Amino acid sequence: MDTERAKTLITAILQGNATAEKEFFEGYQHEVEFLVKLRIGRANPDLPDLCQTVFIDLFKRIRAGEYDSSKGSPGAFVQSTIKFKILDYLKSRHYQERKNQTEFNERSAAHPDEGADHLMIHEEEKKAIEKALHALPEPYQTILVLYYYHQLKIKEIAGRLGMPEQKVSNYKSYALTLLSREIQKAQVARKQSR
Amino acid sequence: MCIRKIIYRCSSPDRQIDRFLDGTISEEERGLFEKRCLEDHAFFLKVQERELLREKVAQTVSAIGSELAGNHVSSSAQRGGLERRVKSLIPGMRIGWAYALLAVALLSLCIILVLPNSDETFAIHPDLEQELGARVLRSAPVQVLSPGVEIKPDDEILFAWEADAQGTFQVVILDNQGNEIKSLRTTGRSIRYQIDLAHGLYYWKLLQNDDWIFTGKILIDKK
Repeated sequence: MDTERAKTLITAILQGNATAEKEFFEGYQHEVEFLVKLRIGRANPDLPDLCQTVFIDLFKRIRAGEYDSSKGSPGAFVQSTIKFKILDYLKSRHYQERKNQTEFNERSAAHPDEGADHLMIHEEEKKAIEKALHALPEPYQTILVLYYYHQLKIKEIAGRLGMPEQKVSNYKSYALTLLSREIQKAQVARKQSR
Repeated sequence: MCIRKIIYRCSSPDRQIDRFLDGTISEEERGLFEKRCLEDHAFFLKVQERELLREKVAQTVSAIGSELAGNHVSSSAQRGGLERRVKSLIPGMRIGWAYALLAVALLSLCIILVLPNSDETFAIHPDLEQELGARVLRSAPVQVLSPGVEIKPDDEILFAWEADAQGTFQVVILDNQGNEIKSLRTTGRSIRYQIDLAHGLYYWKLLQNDDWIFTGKILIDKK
């Protein structure tokens, strides 16, 4: 959300404006969900509750006049609220019990596609990715296979290939960028064929 | 797929986003990154798009991974076979040396057969390629506004950037072998350069008070 708009909304929320509260929530909703998801694992069933808790705390802090524009932007204020709420959550007994039961964090890191039922890959995109994967030069293809199929960590891949971790990480990013170009091409082709 | 063409257009901010999504950045960097996501919607959409791409790739690799992994196994097996053959041809010689000799022989063959048809001026410089983008420094990162990668042969190149700190900036243009071919200095935030570069791939570095802060590349295609 635009910083100036967020500041205006915070002032309005302090004056008890419910519409401003709604706009503030809608303005940050997706970002907060996304950032919380990355912190606690996408398959974590506590995700919706935790996002709600973040917003409840955020509005409580705003109404208590805790936001000080001279100390930072509204973005920084939201970010710090997320950070502290997540720290509280990770320290909680509830989280420890749930972690022991489900191990969702490790699983979601190891299986990046889990919890992504919403993800629909169009046939053209899938073919484009497959084709691009087959055409990827070495060591890009090997790194993607080791990371996504064998589910090795960057450190483990680095050890196996005898490369520095930074290099493996860079190569992986590079490979993904190469593939993204192919997906974009497939998307353009799909739009044109409609 | 023309991998080479695509490689030219790869942008380094993707690397920073991947490091964030991989969770391999420091807590301080992570905080700054999250703050940017909350303040810059276009940037947030880019991060989200990257995450979606990663999920799609993960799904596809999971589906066809055995096939790809099989390719790796068979290529390893081929390498093993070749190793045994080389060992039998050159008894007593260490296999590393045998590989080195083989590599030199293959390289010479490639130079003889391929070079007349290839365009060496567009070959990437592996080390500079790895450095593309802003370098992580203690100070606020520089944001480069110009130039883009592809430059028309008769264009004037505008190097422009945003940076909080004061001082002298230096733009160094390098060829694709990493040799310095031009150095320009300014105390401002932009500098123009009338092009006199031949067809090919070039890299450029931005230095601030002699600290290397950014690496970019320029593609001049006269075809």
